[in-house]
Amino acid sequence: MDLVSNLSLGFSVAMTPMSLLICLAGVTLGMVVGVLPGLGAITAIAMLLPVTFYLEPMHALIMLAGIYYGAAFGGSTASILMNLPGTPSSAITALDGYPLAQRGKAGVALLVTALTSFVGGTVGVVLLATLAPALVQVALGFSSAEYFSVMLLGLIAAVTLADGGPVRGLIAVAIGLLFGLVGADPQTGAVRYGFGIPEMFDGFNLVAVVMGLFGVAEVLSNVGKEGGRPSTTRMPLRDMLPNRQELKETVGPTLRGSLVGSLVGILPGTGVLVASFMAYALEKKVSKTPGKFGKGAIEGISAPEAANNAATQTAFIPTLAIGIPGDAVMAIMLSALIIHGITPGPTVIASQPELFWGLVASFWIGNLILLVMNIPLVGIWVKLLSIPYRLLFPSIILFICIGVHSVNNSVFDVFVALGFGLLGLLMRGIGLSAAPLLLGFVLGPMMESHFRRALTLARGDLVVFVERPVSAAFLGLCLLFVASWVLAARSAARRRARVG
Amino acid sequence: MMRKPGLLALLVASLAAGVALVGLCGAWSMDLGSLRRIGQGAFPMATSILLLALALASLFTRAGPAGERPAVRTVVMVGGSMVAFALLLPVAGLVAAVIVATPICAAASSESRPLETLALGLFLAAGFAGLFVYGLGLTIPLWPE
Repeated sequence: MDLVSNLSLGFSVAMTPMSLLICLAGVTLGMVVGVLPGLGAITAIAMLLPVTFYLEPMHALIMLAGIYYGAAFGGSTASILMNLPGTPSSAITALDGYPLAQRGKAGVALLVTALTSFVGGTVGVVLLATLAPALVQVALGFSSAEYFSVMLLGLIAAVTLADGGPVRGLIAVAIGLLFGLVGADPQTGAVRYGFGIPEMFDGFNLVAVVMGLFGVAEVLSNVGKEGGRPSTTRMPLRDMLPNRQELKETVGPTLRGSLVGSLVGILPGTGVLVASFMAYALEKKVSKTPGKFGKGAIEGISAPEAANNAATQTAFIPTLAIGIPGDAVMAIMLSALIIHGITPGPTVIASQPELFWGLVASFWIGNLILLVMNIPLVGIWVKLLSIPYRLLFPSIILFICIGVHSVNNSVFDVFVALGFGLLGLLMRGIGLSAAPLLLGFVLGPMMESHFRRALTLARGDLVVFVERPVSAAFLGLCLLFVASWVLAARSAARRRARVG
Repeated sequence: MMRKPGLLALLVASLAAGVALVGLCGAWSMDLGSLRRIGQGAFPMATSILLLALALASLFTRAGPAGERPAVRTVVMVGGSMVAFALLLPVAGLVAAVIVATPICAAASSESRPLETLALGLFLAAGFAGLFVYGLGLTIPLWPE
């Protein structure tokens, strides 16, 4: 089957009234949650995951994907209007978006965001449609050795990008690995770290862990802080149209951002934040007027927005094609797939083409819905932003409680969410990031079983990890990353010595 | 006091070391196995030792930016509301759990107003019952058994 017939199959699945409705509902819910201060895409998905339990797998996935990019977009809206980014990646949009809004250009900023996101998303979808099948061909030849190495690469890449340097990133990953090991060992069935508590024998529930680390921790650190006020409350369409000059200024950054974002998104362990960060840095570097950045440069919102939407799409490539989540959001997506009885991996595209291609098509439709919805509905988003936080945070906490409880009908999971919320709060306080912890939590058990299987098949010979070329290449990349840590630490030390 | 890098580094190291020690204790009695047949204890043991080494190493690196110090009242009230919800739900049902947990949670913020909070609790109880129990058909008890 070639690309055209694949895509037409996809559109035939995604264009059914039910799929369209689900996609619209997902995008809308995602935007509503994403606009609310302090709630990012990851919390949105985890909170709304129970809502999808009663849908068929295809529709559940379309809805979750819609929630994902809807929330990402909603986050940008909150950043621009109120300087209240829900996620670190929309914090980059706030750098130039908020100054634009203060200059009375909020409408232009929002529309440019919607347009560039759409372009970035489209580039990402095209890449997803062309690259994923090719990657599947490679992934079909993967043995446990390759799986282990690529997951190690993902963890190391995540550590490289963590706040506070590689040692702190590694600490977060290792803590995550240990938490991931709790429960029955898949190979022998023996319970590890059960501490005699029956509820622990199945391990910690991923949704509870995510809600705790991101949702509860976010609320705990935000209550008591004064939020900003929306800079404007009315937004006629006339004010939203960018002038010719502004339009011209967005073209280059959008295209460069889409490219950077797509490439970064494919790499395991990197994700959306790095994509927008790199795109912003690149624009600042190539710009003739770098001084404009941070004071309301239109390039400063178009490049990162294009990049994060492109990365949002291409991050699905490793998740769907190999079954390895690249970041925390993808980990939730993966667990949602498993809850719905689909084990992601190279065989999914071949065995359930309508699922994969339908999803690809619905991504693009979702991006289109975002673009169309944003323009007439801006007024509503602005209104949502004026709900006081004192009403929002109890609602968020109770929503989390019910959501966590409903996954397994387990009261214990609510306590797990609270525990991880406190851990997340502590980690924020001492400068450790939660994202690498979550990646370790998800990838740890998978890595362990692939490591053990590879060694059992190789009769205990460690050479198996380097004699297979693909595995050796991944391990080589890991070494490069580690070498870059050492170099960075050295040059930082030298700089410090010079400064004195 | 959380902004002093020395204390921060110490806190990071003790968190890492604490988790590592629990990991080591738990892994102590597990079977390590051999390279050919790796036991269930090998990975936990290796990860714990790595984490312990990292705890030591972190003492010699520069601390990252510190976050703000959390307010005790927030932690107690928000945590308390989650505990109350979890304990009440199985015995008293969703409606009572939400109506009780909402004001506890709202008490975390000094901006909350009593009447408004009460109304919010009623609104949330009705909304959650409608969405989760009637809308999605989740099997959560609505009222006390």
